[in-house]
Amino acid sequence: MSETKAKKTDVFSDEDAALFEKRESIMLTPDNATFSRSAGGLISLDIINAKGEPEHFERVVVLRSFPITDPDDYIAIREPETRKSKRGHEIGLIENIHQFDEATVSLLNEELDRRYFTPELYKIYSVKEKFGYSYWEADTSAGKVTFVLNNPSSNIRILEDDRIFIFDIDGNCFQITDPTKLDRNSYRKIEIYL
Amino acid sequence: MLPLDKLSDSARESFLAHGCDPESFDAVLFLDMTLEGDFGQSWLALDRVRKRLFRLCENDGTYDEFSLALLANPYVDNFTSSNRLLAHEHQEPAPEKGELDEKEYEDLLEDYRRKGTTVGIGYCTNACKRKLFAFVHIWERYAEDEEVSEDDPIFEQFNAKCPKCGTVYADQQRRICEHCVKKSATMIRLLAYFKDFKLQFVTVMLCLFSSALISLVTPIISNQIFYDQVIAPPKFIDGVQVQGKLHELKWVYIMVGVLFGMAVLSLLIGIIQNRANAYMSTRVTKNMKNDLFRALQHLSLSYFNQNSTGRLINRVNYDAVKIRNFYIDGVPHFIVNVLNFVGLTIFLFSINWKLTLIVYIPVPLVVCIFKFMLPKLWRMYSKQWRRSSSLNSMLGDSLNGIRVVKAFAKEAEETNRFYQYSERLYHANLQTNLVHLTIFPVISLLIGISSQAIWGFGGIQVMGETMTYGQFATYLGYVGMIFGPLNFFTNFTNMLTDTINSAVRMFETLDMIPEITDAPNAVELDTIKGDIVFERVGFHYTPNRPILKDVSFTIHAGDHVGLVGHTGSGKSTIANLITRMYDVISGSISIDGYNVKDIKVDSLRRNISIVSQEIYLFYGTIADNIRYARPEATMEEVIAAARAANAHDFILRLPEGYETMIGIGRRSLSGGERQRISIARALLMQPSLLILDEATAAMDTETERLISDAIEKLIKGRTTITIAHRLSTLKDCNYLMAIEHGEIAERGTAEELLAKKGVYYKLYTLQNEQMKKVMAGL
Repeated sequence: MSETKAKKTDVFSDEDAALFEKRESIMLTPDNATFSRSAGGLISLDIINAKGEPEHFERVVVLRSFPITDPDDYIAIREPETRKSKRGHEIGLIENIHQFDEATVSLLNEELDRRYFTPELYKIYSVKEKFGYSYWEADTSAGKVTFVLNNPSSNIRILEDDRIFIFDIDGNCFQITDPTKLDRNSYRKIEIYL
Repeated sequence: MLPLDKLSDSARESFLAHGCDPESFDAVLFLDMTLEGDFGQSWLALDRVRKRLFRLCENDGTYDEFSLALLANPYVDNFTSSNRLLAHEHQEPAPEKGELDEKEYEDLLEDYRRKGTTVGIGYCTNACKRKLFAFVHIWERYAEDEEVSEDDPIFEQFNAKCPKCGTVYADQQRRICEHCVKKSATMIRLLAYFKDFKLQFVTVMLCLFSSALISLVTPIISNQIFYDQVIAPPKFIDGVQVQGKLHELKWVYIMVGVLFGMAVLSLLIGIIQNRANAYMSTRVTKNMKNDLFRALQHLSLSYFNQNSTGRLINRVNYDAVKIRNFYIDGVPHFIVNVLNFVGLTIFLFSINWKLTLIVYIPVPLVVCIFKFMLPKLWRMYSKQWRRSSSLNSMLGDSLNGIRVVKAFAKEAEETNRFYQYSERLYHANLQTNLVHLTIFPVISLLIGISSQAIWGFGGIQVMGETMTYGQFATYLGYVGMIFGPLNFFTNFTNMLTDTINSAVRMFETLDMIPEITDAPNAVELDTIKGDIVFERVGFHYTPNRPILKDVSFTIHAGDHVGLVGHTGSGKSTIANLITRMYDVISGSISIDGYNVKDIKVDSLRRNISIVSQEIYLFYGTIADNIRYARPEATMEEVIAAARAANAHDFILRLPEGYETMIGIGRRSLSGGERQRISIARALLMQPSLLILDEATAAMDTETERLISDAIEKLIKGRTTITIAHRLSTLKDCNYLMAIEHGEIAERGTAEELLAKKGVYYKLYTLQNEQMKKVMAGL
């Protein structure tokens, strides 16, 4: 038993070190990272990695660490996960998005806004209760929409700072940043749920 | 065209306008967002023969055409409320392998991939998510030159039927059956629970009527008759006696007797009513709870993954009570209040219509207050409720985690945190109470003003002898009664919606059809041999995270197979699929040549024992827990099973041996001890197929060794599947399968896998490496 074990141990050599290599996540700043729009309209990244070598990523995934309370800080940049490839590793973190120039900020924010797409409800045209489900017609930052809500007690969440998140039956999320700024008619329609 | 989405007329015309014939489309997908990421209407269409993908956005009229030879690897990125379909766009068609060897071709492909770029194909909200995944699935199969037929299992999810009436949902994304979702239907269905209690129900109604009648009649007797005819001296108007008809002492006694009798009568009626009510309501609640529990027990595991246990407990406990309350307290009182209100109005007008008009002046005002102020109050109550529930969860959280709190010496911080929640609750309470204590006195004042006005006007009328004192007193009594029904009605609507919601939730659970059901022609297998065949099995819990992709393997009866792989690689899922806790999304699983879907679930599970990572021991004795699956087992068998699981010794060391109570709040066992009991439970079943899913992970190596040796003896000739991270656990296996990213990456004996230098090798060297460090004392 011990003999075979010794034999197997010998199999392990330096070349195995590559098996366990994991990318080291770095702090991304304008000095070591340049974002650009990829040919496919997504985001490409060039960095100087932890080893001091330049590296190019055709596409990166941009994530917020604190999407609800702190959208501008700790933006994570990761290798994409695709269905076929293995899990993506983190390339680096941006401490604050505004360290980068305006063009980069708007490039990143455009991508981030899509990822955290949560339309703001501006105006609520009608809310029709039909037996446990309510059918909403509203105008949002992303255009007019109709959606269905059930179980308002668990699907309308009110944050500490009075922001309202509404989750519809499909799992889509809508938000109202400041309910008091809604017009009277709209406010009256959501009032009963608050 | 495949039954996914249907082109709208406008989209059809737009496609035609771009010189593209919708008749050639094989699959069409509707996306509810534009390419800019706003709400809108976009369309994707696949043409299998010409290998093309078409895209149309109706909002801005953009139209694109892609060649599927260049566009590969469709992939869906899941966002919070939206999804993005991505694909890899190559510059040229994929290179042919030709004369190249494996390595050269791989390099060529690598280079080829690097030249391509990822492009966004479209966006949609979660409303289109399922269809989007189906579309991607079809696309991938087309890419591999496979055909997809109209009756492919992938479309089954879009043909969901309402379990109650059997009609296919109009909107598959939102499974609401317009047909069954009717207020009256639910209310009538609820009444079915009361149909065995007709007698009680009638009794309750009669009692309520009589007590309403008594309360209406009492003021007449006590005031109009007692004051006017008994106490007041005789008085004649135009020769007709109007007062003091019974102005004799004996009538005083009689009247007092009558009043006393009525009080006793109403007491009796109250007792009868409450007893009938109690009889009926406790039973109705019991029946509802039993029905709910039975329905829950039969539902599939996926239902319990989607619904938190707390919510289900609430459903069983509170929804039934809420419905009961509505029928027991709500409905009868509603009827009585309506009658009371009508009766009172008639009485009041008949006594003195002029005064009555005064009474009704504040009514609209009071109704207005109820209508406008009460929602505000409810909101405050719900705020109060929210805060008190967050206080409760903080409390529970902190007390459950008291070990951690103490370990980090955070008692003071926790106390402060509690103070904060407590403070916020206090403010909400204060605010609610202040408003509450303002609104209701104002209402009383309004009512008070009208009664004061009545005192005035009525007093004048009594003095002017157009009204007797008795009439006046009766009148005042009625005025006090009229606001009761008004208050009730304003609350009633609230109660009604609450009840309907509860009832809907209840019927939703009762009507839920388990996802896993026996096929009509399912076979009953007494014993199974344990030949397991996975054929191109694909599975996911949520569409975007495939757990198993195209997994095929065969396990022969009597094999001892080990499954290795990272956490989340799909090992436990394989066990779940064999026991049919879930059904496969694509492909098939067969046991002894029968598709698992064609075997009766009961008989399948009777033959398979699984020791899973999550161990649950029920409240009861250790013996009961071991005998859970086979209550008829003898004590001898229990002890033998416990011995095999190496549990016998530690059980006997417990003060009450096999009769030690375990479970919630009882003697706590260590993780390894619990695992050993659950292994004994599984072994006692004498299964044909044993699945050990990390069953020995919480034990020391020595115990694990002992158990696996004992199990090895027991399972001779039976199929066993062992799932483990720790490779030493798998030493007895005939062969291993390494799972990675939902695919069988490697298969073979331990030696063969080591030679492959793949997944298994990686795990092996990693664990070996650690061991070497330990040995070297690093």
